[in-house]
Amino acid sequence: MSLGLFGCTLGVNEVNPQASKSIEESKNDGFFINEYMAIQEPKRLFDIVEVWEEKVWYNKVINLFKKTKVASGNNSSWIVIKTKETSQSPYVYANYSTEWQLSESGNLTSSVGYAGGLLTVSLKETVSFPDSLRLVLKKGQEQIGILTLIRKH
Amino acid sequence: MGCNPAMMVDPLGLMGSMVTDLPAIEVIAHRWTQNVGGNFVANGAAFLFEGSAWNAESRSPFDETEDLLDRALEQTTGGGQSSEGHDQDPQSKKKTDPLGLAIVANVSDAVYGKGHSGLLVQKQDGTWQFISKEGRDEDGDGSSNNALSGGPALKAVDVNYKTLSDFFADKNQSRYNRFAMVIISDVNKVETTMRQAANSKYNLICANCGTAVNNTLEVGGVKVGYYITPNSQFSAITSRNVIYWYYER
Repeated sequence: MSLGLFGCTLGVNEVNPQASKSIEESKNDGFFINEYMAIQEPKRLFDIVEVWEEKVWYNKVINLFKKTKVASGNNSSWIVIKTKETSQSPYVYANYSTEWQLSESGNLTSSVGYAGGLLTVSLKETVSFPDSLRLVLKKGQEQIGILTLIRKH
Repeated sequence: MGCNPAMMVDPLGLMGSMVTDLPAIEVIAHRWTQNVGGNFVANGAAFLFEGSAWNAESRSPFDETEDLLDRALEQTTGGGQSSEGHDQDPQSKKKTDPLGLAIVANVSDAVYGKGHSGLLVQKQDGTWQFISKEGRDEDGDGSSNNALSGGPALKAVDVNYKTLSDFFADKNQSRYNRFAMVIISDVNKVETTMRQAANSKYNLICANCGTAVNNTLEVGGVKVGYYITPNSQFSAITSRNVIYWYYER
């Protein structure tokens, strides 16, 4: 056990789904499904870098010193929104949830939040991935803006 | 409290089974069993509820016990008074009283059987925030980043569920198999503390997923103690506190 404490993979979380850092990484790992375009109202609500749908994947520990990435066994996917936070950004992770709330306006998602520093939108199991998805940003009770995601292909 | 493994009750996770054998345990949790309702205890008063066990197609058992939990909260806070002691109607109390519920979500078979834990906090708008500290970011901070000394943590999983049912129905969270609900003193402070802990430096012994939950619950007034592994912490939480709802799947 003492030896095990020095092993790298003891600190690896293989429970929660992870998000690829970019479309390129998602494609390289074979998880990429589709790219989305984002329409913001008002503009510049988020500084969005790229939006894509990918298979949900997890870290899998092979042994104490080796891990790999595996797609979820239930063939699920989610939308990943990569944003760039600057000093001018009206919406930043540090204030996420305590000041700002980002939620889907219908009843399609099981969760909206962060994984690996990226925004993730997870749909309910009974919902086929729609061509578009509407997210509402609120500050307190006040609606600040709307983020509409539209599938590219 | 500083991180001193020598002071920890369970430095290598080898004595986790002893945690449940501690004397003077106040175990009030009752497991859900197939096709049977359940019960819970608040301040010595037993509440029984009917209903079938939760499954993926049904509502969360929490939905069915919400009223009873509200009553438990009222008892705990002195009959409808806020933590500040001001009389308020039930509607406004929900919005202003930071006293609330948290659920420790545990995966008992993760990480070579040492477990993994995350925390669900019911926010004042009624939604549930799930926060989990992830592992060490192996790519960050250069040579000082290694398995022994620790390093920067991967960014937390930090997601919002409109209802508890949504969490249980989320197939991405299906590995979580043990849940223990406790009352916490300040949901806002607990949520913020968990977010900070989940995104701060990772260390296998002193700052792992379980210690993030552990330290956060202590802020919320829940007794845990000084345990390292998520499973031993989970045992300590259920042994040392009033558990308002317990569920295994």
